[in-house]
Amino acid sequence: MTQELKVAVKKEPNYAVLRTDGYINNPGGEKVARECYKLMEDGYKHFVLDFSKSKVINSIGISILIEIIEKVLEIDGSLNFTGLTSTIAKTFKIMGLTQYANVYDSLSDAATAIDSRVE
Amino acid sequence: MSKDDYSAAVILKEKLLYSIRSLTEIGEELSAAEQFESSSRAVLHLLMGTIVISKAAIMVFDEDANKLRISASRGIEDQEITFRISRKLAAAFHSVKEPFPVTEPPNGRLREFFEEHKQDIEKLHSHLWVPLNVKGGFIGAISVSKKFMGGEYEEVDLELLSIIAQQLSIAINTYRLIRNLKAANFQLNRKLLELEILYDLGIAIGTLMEVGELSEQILINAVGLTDASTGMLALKDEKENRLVMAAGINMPVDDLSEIEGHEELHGLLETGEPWLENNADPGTMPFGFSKLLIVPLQGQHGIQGLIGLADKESRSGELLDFTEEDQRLLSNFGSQAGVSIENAKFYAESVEKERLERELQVAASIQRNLLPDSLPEISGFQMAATTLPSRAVGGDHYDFIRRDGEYLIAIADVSGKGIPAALLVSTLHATFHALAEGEWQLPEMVSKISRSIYASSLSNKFITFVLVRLNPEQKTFHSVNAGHNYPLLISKEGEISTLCKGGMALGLLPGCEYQEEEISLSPGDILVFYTDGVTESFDLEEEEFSEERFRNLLLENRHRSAQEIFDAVLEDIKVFVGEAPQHDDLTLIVIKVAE
Repeated sequence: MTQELKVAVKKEPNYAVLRTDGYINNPGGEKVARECYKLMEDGYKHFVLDFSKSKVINSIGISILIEIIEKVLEIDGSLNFTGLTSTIAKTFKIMGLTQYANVYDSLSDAATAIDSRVE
Repeated sequence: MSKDDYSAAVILKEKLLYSIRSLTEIGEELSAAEQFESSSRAVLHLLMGTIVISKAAIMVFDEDANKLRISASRGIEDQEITFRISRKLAAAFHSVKEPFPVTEPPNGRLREFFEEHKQDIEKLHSHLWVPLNVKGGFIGAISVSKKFMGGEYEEVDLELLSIIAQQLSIAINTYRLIRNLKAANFQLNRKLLELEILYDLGIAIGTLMEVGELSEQILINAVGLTDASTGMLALKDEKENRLVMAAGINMPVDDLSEIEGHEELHGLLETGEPWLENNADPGTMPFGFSKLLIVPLQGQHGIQGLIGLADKESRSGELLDFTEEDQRLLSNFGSQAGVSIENAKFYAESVEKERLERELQVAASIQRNLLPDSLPEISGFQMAATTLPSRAVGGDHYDFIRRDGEYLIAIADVSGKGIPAALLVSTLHATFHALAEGEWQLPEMVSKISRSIYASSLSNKFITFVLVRLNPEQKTFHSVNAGHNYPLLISKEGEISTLCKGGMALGLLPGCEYQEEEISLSPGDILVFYTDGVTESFDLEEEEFSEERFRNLLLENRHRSAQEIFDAVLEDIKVFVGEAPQHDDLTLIVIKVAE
């Protein structure tokens, strides 16, 4: 009965965008992590997670995002969020994710920030 | 010192210097990297290069799972090799401080272990094992193969292995402490999040939100906080006494069959008790879940609905039981959410009421415009008329149309009250005005109006109606009565006759024939048209104003002007009714032939 999270990946020169659709829980978070790690193997260091179509996240989803952040920071990369609902934005702030990852209002804001960091 | 001794001393010195450099690098690696996995790989490579071996593995003991797993390896194909380690076996490893050959474990329990896992030990290409220990216990092990090209392990190699094992043990322990600290911090933040969300709900109680939006927000927070994989929020429909899905996560919102089929859910609305199941038969449970937690949404004026969660997730993928703590949290949540939803419902109802009132005001204004702007001034006649709806809009109506020196006068009473009746009044008004343009005789005209009303109204709707054609010059009039209470004709002398000729009420049958009557008027005659709202006005004791009282009142006042008679009737009704509410629309027309 549970619906699987969908992840669409778009590769840009300096970063990759992962657009999620659905619940960021254990299977959902794992799927995001797998996509990120695959991209890391392809040489990507900077990631934008677009959560516009994800309204719910649980603590397991958050712990998986923390794992991704740790791995990304290890390769001097960055994890960037956009399209957060006010509830998820507040959750990230309280759970400490925003200390190590960036939150942007729009995808273009995230892209501009990453491009300026990389170039 | 011989030349050979000197050469041996130089080689040993260089080897020791190389080993010290390696140890320094291993120390730096272990303290610099943030992830143990990556640093353990680097340490493994340094260790293999220093001791000159081709196959090795660092294994870490997972205390929670009682398993020893490979953390980093080189030259080993099977990365999934795992050893189950009992508490006693962990103690046996903890008692060993030095590297030992796997063929000669230092105590009996370890001998049993290596004998039992001989195949996996061979897959690891193990020659020596070095336990990784800290004060608190066994935390892992290093496995190394034979030395490259069959070289023998020298004392310096074993010493080096022991030192590396000590460094690694401290590093693993530190990583574990950091990990535990992170986990504790995570849990602390989670508690903070719980409080924040409850606080937000508290604010939402005072905020006017749409019920659907609020329901979804409440469910999102509840599912997120409890790690449930699925959730639903159903609201109680007070009118139909059933549950209606308002929000769902991983659950179809439009599927009510699951809710309707389970009496237990409806029982919760009565008892107000939470429902926690962890080992139920899925076939008998709502939505087929075996683990679920459902709590009522308790508002200040009763239970507003239910919030249900199912299948609590864990990081390992296994489903966890819902705990008493989850129940307590969700119950707190349910109480806050219940009041928020209650307020949102009240707000939605008041907005809807306000909207309806605004629409009614517009409808009332439209209906007022259907009435004549003013009464016609007819030489030799006095007139007074009004209609008083019991609600904002009503089903009573009167009209005057001038046609070729004559006047068409109509009075109507639609069955029922309020908006449906008012809509039929509009139809009547439009039809009447359209037909008034033609040269129809009264019976024909009323018949056509009846057909139009029949076509445009429901079967249980009809209109009682009187249409009069007054010729002021000849002081005569023709009248058709379509089922209306009889208009009264009162002579100067006080004789009362009624206008009863006509036919059925409008709209009852598709084709009706009507008859008319013609009456000549004399000076001082009074014509009174009225609806049953006049004679059926009630006082607080539910006494009826009555036809008799009405007639007597008209007789008593028959020598006065039309306006004075009209005022006397309305005043008397007002006095009679007192504080009782007007229960029906009321229309009165008084026409008097000047004396």
